[in-house]
Amino acid sequence: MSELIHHFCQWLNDTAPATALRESLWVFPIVETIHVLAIALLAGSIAILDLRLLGIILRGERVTTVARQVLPVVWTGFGILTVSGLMLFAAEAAKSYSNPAFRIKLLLLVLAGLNPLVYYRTVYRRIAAWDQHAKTPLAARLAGAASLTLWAGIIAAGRATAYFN
Amino acid sequence: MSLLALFQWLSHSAVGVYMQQSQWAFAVVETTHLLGLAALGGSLIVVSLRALGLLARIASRQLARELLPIAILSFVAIAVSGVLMVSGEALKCYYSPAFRAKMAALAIALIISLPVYFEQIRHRDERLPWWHRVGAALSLLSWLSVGIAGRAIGFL
Repeated sequence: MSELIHHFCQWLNDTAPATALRESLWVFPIVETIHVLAIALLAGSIAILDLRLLGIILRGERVTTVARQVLPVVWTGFGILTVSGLMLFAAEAAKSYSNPAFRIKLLLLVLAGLNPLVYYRTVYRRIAAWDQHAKTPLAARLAGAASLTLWAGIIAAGRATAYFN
Repeated sequence: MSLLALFQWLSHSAVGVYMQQSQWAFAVVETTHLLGLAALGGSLIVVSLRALGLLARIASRQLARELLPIAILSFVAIAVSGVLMVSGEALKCYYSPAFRAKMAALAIALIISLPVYFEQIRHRDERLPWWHRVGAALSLLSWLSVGIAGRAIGFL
């Protein structure tokens, strides 16, 4: 399996578009800048919802209201980060495969994706009962804390990826 | 003291020497700077979009007031980590056109965004006057230029 992934990364790395992007003077740094700045759209706005789940800010607002306020920004950031991230990965796929920081980043991304899936399938089903509460159920607070920690870890691992490349 | 002398002093200060010699300090400080960027950028984007009348779920002044602590704390984190990074490569920064552009953009961003932000907290009407919405858009653009110039320091 790992051999297959390794071959795929090498193949992707050597495709014409990936090579062109890697060797470009301006496009690669522009895509990288977009990727770094779009962190604010995703991580910065989801942190607002996380802090509401933790009962730290916007305590007088319903959790669902805060979610509707920030989730369009979160998803916009997610779209930009995914597209720019896939481009950066393709350009450096061969190096990224063996990069320990990049592997940790992917693992944290999977966990950051599972966290809301668990949240929406468990404590969110009873949201009508606690939507307005400043102090949310323990499971909701855990989801908020996990999200804050995971996204901070993803940013740190993403930065570290460049140190290991 | 000239600006160059200030950067030289920073470079030779105990903190500057530590930032230059430590193997991990720069990476840790740089990551802190990025985390601050995420928190400050996210809160400013949400507050400014609300000022523009987009995503009107929470009252404008309420949103601006509740996110102010995030904006202040993250700006402090960015400023402290930023000074530490400069002390680690003071002369590179002094001669970097991107760094100079970033400081100029930062001054403009602060001049625009501080009055716009506090006016949003003060303003009672749900619909902000047109000049306030222009201010919110300019504030976002000015912070975007700070970010772009900041990233360019590493490239140029």
